[in-house]
Amino acid sequence: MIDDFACRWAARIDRGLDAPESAALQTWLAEDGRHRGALLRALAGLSLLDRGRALGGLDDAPTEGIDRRRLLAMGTVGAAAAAVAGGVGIRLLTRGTSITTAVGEIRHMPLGDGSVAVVNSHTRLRVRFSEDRRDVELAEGEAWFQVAKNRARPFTVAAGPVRVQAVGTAFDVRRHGGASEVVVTEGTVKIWSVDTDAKPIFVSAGHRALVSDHVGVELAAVPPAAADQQLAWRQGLIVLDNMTLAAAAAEFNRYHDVRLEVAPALAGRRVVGWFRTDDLEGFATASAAMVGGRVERAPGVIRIAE
Amino acid sequence: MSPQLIGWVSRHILPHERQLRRWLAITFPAADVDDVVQEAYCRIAALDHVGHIGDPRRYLFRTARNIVLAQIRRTRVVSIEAASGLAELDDALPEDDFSPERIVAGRLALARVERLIAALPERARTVLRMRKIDGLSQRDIAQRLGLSEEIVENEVGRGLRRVLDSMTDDERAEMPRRRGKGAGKAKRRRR
Repeated sequence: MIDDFACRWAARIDRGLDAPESAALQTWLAEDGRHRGALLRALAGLSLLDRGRALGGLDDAPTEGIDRRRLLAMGTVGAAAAAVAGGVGIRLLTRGTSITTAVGEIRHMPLGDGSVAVVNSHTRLRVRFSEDRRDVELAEGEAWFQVAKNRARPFTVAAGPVRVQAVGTAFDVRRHGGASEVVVTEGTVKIWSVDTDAKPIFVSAGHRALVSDHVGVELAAVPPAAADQQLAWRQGLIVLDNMTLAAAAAEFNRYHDVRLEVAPALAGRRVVGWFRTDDLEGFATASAAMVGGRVERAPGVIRIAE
Repeated sequence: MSPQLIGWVSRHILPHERQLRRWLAITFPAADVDDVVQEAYCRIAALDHVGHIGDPRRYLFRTARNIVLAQIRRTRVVSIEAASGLAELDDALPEDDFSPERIVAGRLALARVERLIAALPERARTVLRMRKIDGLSQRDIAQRLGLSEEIVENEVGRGLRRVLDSMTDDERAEMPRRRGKGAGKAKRRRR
């Protein structure tokens, strides 16, 4: 019961108290010594619902409420949702169709057979369907596929020498740095490389495989929550879960022509938060505040400096 | 209550509350866990600063133990059950509790929060996400969604309650203490 009231007060404080409410809060706190503790706990919980936090840093500097106001001006909510939802319907013919996304573009593509591809920023892929096969070639970038079940027409994604085959399942393939990373979100896929004689491996939902072009296949289990976070880009989101600032900047740089740089002294600081992929400014400002740095701008570069 | 204190509690105390509750329930079966935890937050709320606390988790457990001790002294009836926990306290606390575990606790908390928000009804989910992801104020959220500010405030308050509950209370989820019930069923069946 106390916790219910404390949560209500925390929500009211989050909204902003007027004078009579402040007085009422003081009265409530004075009623019972335990109220103050319960309110502290509720406010601490509320900060978990804030935009971003630095983790395990040396600072206990206030990072709360850094940038809520200024983001309003950017109108990110509708824009990102529209960018993601505005899928382009394409009837794919057997001749094959190329799909290229620009930096920052995320596209939902129905593939004509009931399957869907969500194509991430800066990606090139080619789709070629025939009577008895469904082939996708991922030349660059990343895409997630929800495959319509059809045993007579296997669905195969080629990424470099790596092949990922599914019958009816959902999975993500990312091509980067001479390797292909596969995250399976539903069902099972079969993975092999045309460059080696190694036997195909089978990877099931909740697992990830990292296939290096020259070395072979490595398997790693991905807990479901982590897989959701890794694939948050499909909703136009980046989820930073205890990621270093440098890695977070690299993640943002996949989506923008403007480069985000981080001062070496801050590169190893860890951050937590959810951001829109299209909100580079918001991320720069929020993360600079989180780690106690500041934002510098130059043509084509945003820098988080000490 | 300073923002520093609130931030410190959210990073270093809240992620350990679930474990504290479990430990209290096992070590001091006679204690009222809710009561002890509430009192512990009360004492933390009275701190002027927290910079001197090197190991917040240990601090939390010690504070809780001292509260249990004080309660036992007040009742003046030291049951064997209650007393047995005291000697074990130091063994029950892991010696090295530096950043890795602390970070893991923080991560687990974050993952839970995210899953929980995803599972909320649509309006609550939208409100919390606009607040969390877009960093919008309650007023802006109300305007954009065409809702009253009271509704938005209610969603934030109720959402917060659920997030806190799921972060800190695992009795139902993880400790299947259904033996009593099962036995009851068996009896009924026999009849």
